[in-house]
Order: sequence, then structure tokens, then C-alpha cells
Amino acid sequence: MSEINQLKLPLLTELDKNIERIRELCGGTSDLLVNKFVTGGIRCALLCCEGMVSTSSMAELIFRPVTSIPQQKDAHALFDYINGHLLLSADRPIASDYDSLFRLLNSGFALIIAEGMSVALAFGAQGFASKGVSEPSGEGNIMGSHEGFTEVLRSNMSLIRRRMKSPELVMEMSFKGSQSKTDICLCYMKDRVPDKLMERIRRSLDRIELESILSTGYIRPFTEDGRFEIFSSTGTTERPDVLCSKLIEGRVAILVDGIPFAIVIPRLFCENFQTLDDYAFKPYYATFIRWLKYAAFIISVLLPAVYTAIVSHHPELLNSTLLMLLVESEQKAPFSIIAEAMGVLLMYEIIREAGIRLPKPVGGAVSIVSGLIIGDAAVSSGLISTPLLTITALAVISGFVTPELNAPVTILRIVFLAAGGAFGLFGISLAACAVLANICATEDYGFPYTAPLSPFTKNGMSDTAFRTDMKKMQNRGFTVEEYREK
Amino acid sequence: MAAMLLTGDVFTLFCLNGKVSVITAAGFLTAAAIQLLLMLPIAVMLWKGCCTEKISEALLLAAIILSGAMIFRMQWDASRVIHIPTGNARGIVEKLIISGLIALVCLYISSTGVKALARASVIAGAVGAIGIAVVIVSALFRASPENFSRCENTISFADEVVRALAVSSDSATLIVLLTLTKAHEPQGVFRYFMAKSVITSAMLLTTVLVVGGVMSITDFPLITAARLSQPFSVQRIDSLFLMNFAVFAVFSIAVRSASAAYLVGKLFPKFSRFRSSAVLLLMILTALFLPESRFYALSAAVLPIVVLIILALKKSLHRKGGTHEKHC
Repeated sequence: MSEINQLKLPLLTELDKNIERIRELCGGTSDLLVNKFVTGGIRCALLCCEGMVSTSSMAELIFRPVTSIPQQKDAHALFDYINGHLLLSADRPIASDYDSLFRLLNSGFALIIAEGMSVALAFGAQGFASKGVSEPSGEGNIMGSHEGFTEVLRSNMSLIRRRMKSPELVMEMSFKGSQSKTDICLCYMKDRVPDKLMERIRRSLDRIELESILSTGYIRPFTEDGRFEIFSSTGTTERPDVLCSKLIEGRVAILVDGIPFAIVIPRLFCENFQTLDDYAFKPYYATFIRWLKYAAFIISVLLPAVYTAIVSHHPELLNSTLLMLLVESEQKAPFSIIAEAMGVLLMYEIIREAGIRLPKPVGGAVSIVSGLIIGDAAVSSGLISTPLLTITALAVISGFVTPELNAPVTILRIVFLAAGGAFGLFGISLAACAVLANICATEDYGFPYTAPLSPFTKNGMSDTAFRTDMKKMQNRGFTVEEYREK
Repeated sequence: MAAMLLTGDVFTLFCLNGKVSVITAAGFLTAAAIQLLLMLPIAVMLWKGCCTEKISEALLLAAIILSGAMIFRMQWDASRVIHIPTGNARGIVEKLIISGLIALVCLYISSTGVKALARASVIAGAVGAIGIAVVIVSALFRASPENFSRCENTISFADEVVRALAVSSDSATLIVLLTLTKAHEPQGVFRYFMAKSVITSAMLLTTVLVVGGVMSITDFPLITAARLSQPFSVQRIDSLFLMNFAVFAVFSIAVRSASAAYLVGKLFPKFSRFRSSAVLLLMILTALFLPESRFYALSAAVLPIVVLIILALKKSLHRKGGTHEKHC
């Protein structure tokens, strides 16, 4: 019989054979702790995973009460007594087969099996080591909360529940991954999300047949359309306050155990330029910052390409002073402008990637070596020109304004550079048309990615083109359902 | 729908060859009014559930191919005065490179579907409108009312109407979009023609104000007007115009190719793949080999009238027969 079929079998009623089967199925793993004892006249065993349970909770909440049970008629009566008279923990599922037994065991539950019972009682006594709630590494803000999600699913659920005390907030638990059995939680406000959307999302998740779920990247492709999309139509967030604001707008969140990010469905393009800080500042300042971000995005994607296009193909667009300056700098560079620009961009990406992967003590040294020494040396030696380095630096810094878009911006920057270098502003325009078409084609679950710009929704402009006063926004009753195309 | 069609209209204005005067503006407005009078009954019939027959679909396909070919040809002609970097290529190779690039992008845009095309047209149109507004406002600094009188009216009003009908022959595309987008309420058609009239008048009159004095020596008046409209000491408007030109070229061809591909699918259901490629290739070949003559451009304008007649005849035959039209 295959191992998968064996896992689906109910537990053996003979205690010793049951323990033997359990050891056999887990390959005699050393971190499985089995403690046999007698209580209520029935032979029992307590199973737990070393390092996953809290020994103090186990001792106080489980050992002491369980070992003090009066004589019982049989194992059924024992389990009825435990369920009915002893409140050993708030979370008390029942494992009826080996698959669920191992899933609960590996989730930090303590399980009791008894002679004559084909089920096991589980008690939530989790005590595994985990990182506490800390400030999120990305998505920094000034005026809002500094709490971020953690790797523990239930902690994340509590962070959301603390902020949204509404009974409409629903959290649906399930698990995915045939081997990892990773806990997943669907969060949504049931009065804001249509049932049809929930059904579609559940169907998307049902298509997941992976062995393990170790990152949001494992799940997101299943929740998105199959076609090639430059920008992702689902988002992630590390912040519970941001997630709550999305849930209020009728979006659905997917929390995954072990990952401090929540997946948000759907995501619109304009949301990449919105932060919670926008709602902490005055509307005029928030609007100014928002337009700054739009400009930064355009600069980040197009500046190197436009520079290359103008220098290579349209020098007549420059005034004489600027033209002479560029001619003087580019004259010394041994490579063509496009090769130079490509080289600088790729070198920046290598340095950025190295800075992320290296240990923190070394990362600082990389910044100094790459930025100051290599950059300065390259310019002094004449390998690259100062204007090009400046342009690339400006483009890169502008990209930091919208970190969620880092991946598509990096690729688009290179694509536009190639188009601009080859065909000038004409090439850039053609590439822009293709990118625009791709963005406009991005649509999942009926929500166009370019909403509320196209299809144009006048009400949507109050939080896109500018940031309306909170008093005017409070009665809007906005949900993202308004943007769904009928 | 209006955004998709207006990009084509603006592009044909960009590429307008020959003298422009106040009579030209009047001719274009009259042509728009004529097209509106022809399209409104078609819009009403489609709204009430009338379907296009195979014969009318074939005529529409021919009209759109001709119209698309005309766009390619206009774009090639305009490329002589607008600098499009194509390396050292010249002559037919240069034309093919430019057309090939535009066709590739149009192919991709068509493959994303009509909904994406419509959304992208709205955004491109809005950005283009801002660009045009900048050009017009900067042109007004260089405008001279004396240019109205300096500009000689050598072409008659009737000829201008014919020229306008030939140049902006997108009626066939309009009919197809009316069925594709399901936005076939007559008010939508009316609004489109209103917008077209306003934009056309603004662009043509501004051109006359700026270029009127040198109209006799310019081949492409609107392009020359954009060139002469430099509000700043550095020449930034040229780049804005080139980008507008490229974007409008792409979308005007993409809309036609998407409409034609839809018709190919209806006429030849077994032809399921490479429809857009075939249509674009046909347009380019037609543009390459069709002799230059206004006859073909007019045909593109006239064929939709034939479609109207067919629809009207069909409706009256069915009314006499007592049958009801099924909603398509």
C-alpha cells in the first residue's frame, strides 16, 4: 500500500501498534516524543514534536489535569470526559487519520491517543521559536503603525483581528502543499465581497497541487490570469494596517504560514503609488507626493532610454550648451552610448543583488567599493561618462520610490533603453504602446488593472489623481466592486 | 469607442498632405456631418438588433483593409519630413522597417483583445490630447490672424469635402466597433462625431493661423505648424510631436487590424490563427502595390454606404415578410 494511502487510514485502536505505526510512518524521526501513561484506568500516550510545543503549557494545562482523571469505563468515556469536563486548550481539533495526526503534530499540537480509540485528541500547546512582531523591512512609513506581519499565521490573524473588530471579518483556514501542509487563511469582509468572487478565488486555490508552499510566489501565479502580465494583478503587503484598509475596500487577503506577507486580491496599478502615510498628511501634501511618485516612476523607466535616444538620434532637441557638454563627455568614452548605458544598468543590478544576498557586515563594504571606488574609477578612467552615470543614478533612485514595482521597472528600463537606442524616440513610443496595451489587458476576476483611469470612474479620481479630504471620503462607502467591469 | 476612432482621425490630420485653409476646415466639418447622417441609421439599426450579413461583412472588411493601407501610405509619406531613425536604410527598406515595427506592435496590441485596446486608446488618447493641447497653445504664441487672408483658397469647397471623406474614411471601423463593443447607442455615435468636429476644427484652424503665410511651400501643414510652434528656446515640441505621431499611428492601425481580424473570423470561421497578421500583411501589401489615387480612398468611404443600403433593404424585406430580427 502506498504511503499516501496509509496516511489516509484511521488510527489503529491498539496503543502499542498505533505508536509503532506512527514511528514507522515518520521514519523513526528523533524529534517525535511519545510519553505513555495511564489515566482513568486507560492506557494512553501523549505525542508531541520536540521544540514545537511549550513544555510549561503542557505541564500546567495538559499533564496535570489529564493525569488526575477518575476511573472511566472505557476509552470512549475517557475522551468524552476530557472533551466535556476539561478545558485543556482553546484549540482542540480531532485527528481521525494519520494524515491529520501528522499535520497537527507538525503544527505544534500535543496529541493524546488511547487504547481502544481510533481518533486522537489534539490540544493547541504551540511553543515553537518565532520572530516577534517587528517593524516591516520594506513599506516604511512615518506616521502609521510600525508593526509588521510575522512568520506565524495565527499571530498575523490576531494582528488583523485587533484592528478589525467587526463580526463581518471572516477567516477561512485551509492547508495547501501535499508535503508541507502549509496553513493558509483566506480573510475577507463578508458584507463587502461578493460570493462569486470568493468562489473564484477558492477555485483558483484548489488548482494548487504543489508539494510545498514556501513563499507567496508559489501561490500568486494560481490566483492570476494565465496570460503574460508585466505587472502583477495581485499584491502583497507586510503591514496589517494596510491589509485592513484593503479588506475594508472589499478585497480578499491570503495569509500563509511561514511567510510574513499577505497576498491581496485584486490589486490595481494606482495602488502602487498609494501608502498609508498619504492619509496621515494634509490632502495638498499627499497629492503632491502622489504626483511625485508618478513622475518618479516615469523617470525611473524612461530617463536612461530618453537620454540615449536624444544623444544618439535627436541631438537637435538639446540646447547648444548641453549639447557641447554631452559631446565632450561622450567623446572620451570608448563604447557606444547604448553599450555604456546597458553596462551601467547591468552593473547596478549586480551590485544591488550582491548587496541583498551578502551578510549585513559585508554589505556595507560592497556599497563603498561599488559606489565610490568602482563608480569613481570608471568615470576617471573614461570608461563611462559622468552624465550617463548621473542619469542612471537618477533613474535608479526614482525607482526606490515604488519598491513594489522594482522587478517590472528594472526590466522595462532595459527594454526601453534598447528601443530608444535602436530607434530613438520613435522606438520608445512603440515600446510604450506595447507596454500600455499589456497593462490595459491585465485583468483578473473582472477588475481592470488600469481602473479607475480606464475604464474611467470619476469617483475613483478622488483617491488616485489627488487625495480628497477624509471628511469627504468617509461617506463614500467605497468598495473595489465599483471598478468591476459588468 | 470614441477614443479608438479619434486616434485614427487625429493621425490622418497629422499626415494631411496639401494646402489647408478655412475652407478645408469647413469641408472636414461637412464631411463629419455627412458621415454622422449615414452612421446614425446604421447605429439605430444595430441597436434595434439588426445583424450584418456576410456580404456587408465582406464589404466592411474590404473597406477597412483599404483604410488601413491608406494609413500606412500616409505614414510613409509623412516619414519623409519627420525624422524616424532607421539607421542607414533608405527607400523601400526604410518604409518596410517602419511599417514592420508598427505592424509588430499593432499585432501585439490586437492580440490583447478589444477591451484592452479600448482602455489603452483612452489613455493614449488622453495623453495625446494633452500633447496636442500643448502644441496648439504654443502655436497660438506664433499665430498671426493675417494668415487667414494670406492663405489662398485654391481648392473648392466640394473638393475639400471629398478630400475629407477620403482622408477620414473610418466609417467601416465604426460599424464594426458598434457591434464589437456593444456601445451602439446612437448618442455614442453623436458624441464621437462632435468630438471629431471640435478636434479637427481646432487643429486645422490653428494650422492656418501659424502656417498660412508659407502654405504654398509646405507639404504637410500640420507637421510644419508643430515645427514652427516653439514656445521655448530649445526645440522640445518636435520630440512631443514625434511621440504623438508614433502613438497615434500605432493605435489607428491597431484599431483597424482588430476590427478586420474580427470580420475575418466571422467570414472564415476556420481561419482561427494569425488573423491579425494576415490582415496587417494585406494592408501593407495593398499600400505598397495599390496605385496612388483618391479613388481607393473614396471607395473606403463609399463601401459603408453600400452596407447601409443592404441593412436597410434587409430590414424592409423582413418587415414585409413579418419576421423579427434576432438580436445578434
